[in-house]
Amino acid sequence: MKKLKPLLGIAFLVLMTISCKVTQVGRYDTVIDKTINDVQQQLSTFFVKAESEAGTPEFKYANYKPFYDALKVEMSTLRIRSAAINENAIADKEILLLDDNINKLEQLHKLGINSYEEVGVLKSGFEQQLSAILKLQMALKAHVKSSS
Amino acid sequence: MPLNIAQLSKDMLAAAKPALQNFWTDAKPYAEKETKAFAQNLAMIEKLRLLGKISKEAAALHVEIQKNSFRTVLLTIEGLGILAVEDALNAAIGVIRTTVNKALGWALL
Repeated sequence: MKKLKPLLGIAFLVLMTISCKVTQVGRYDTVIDKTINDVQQQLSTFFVKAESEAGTPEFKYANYKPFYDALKVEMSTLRIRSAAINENAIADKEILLLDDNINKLEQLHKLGINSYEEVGVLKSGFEQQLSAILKLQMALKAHVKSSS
Repeated sequence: MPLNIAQLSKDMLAAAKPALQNFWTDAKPYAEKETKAFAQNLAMIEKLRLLGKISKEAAALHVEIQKNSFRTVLLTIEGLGILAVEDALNAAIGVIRTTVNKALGWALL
């Protein structure tokens, strides 16, 4: 038993490390996953329209106010659920960064988004962000399956 | 029977290795691709500003959006790394579970 004591200590530390680390990433949740996919679809549709309308009167902010309002409702659902499930975890931080970017997109739209190139930069940034969020969600989903 | 620590370590390392290798195989090209995209987007914002196509205020908002996106990429890589470490630990513990539990006489692992 004396020889096993160091091993017991290591095993305990390993188990503690595992339980703490998983909390840091977050837990998989189907509602969060679905809502992120909905937000991604809305943004994709927005950027397709923006590419052809940027700089035209049709693309003025007033015409897109309903789009931002709908998106804010989705993001509010996402923020509340994520905070309840994953407060301060990586998955939650990602949702807050997406929310911040949507607010900044709205501010930019109010200032005026006037060219195809400007839309391109925005589209690229949002695609990068949404892909990263979905990548982590998929990994969390796969992890649930492999752990069960 | 005393535990053979050298053999247990060898078995644990062999079990843990694939999870960590898979993580690095996926994460490296992903990090490289996204870093390049981040740099390209910043260069485009600078170009749009120099050409006078966007205001100073708009440029600052564009940069913040790109920074948030890249932060998200880095957070995902961190998260994937933690999940890979957990998979590696589970695999490592899995291969020694029977041996250690038997030696202790109760199910610790």
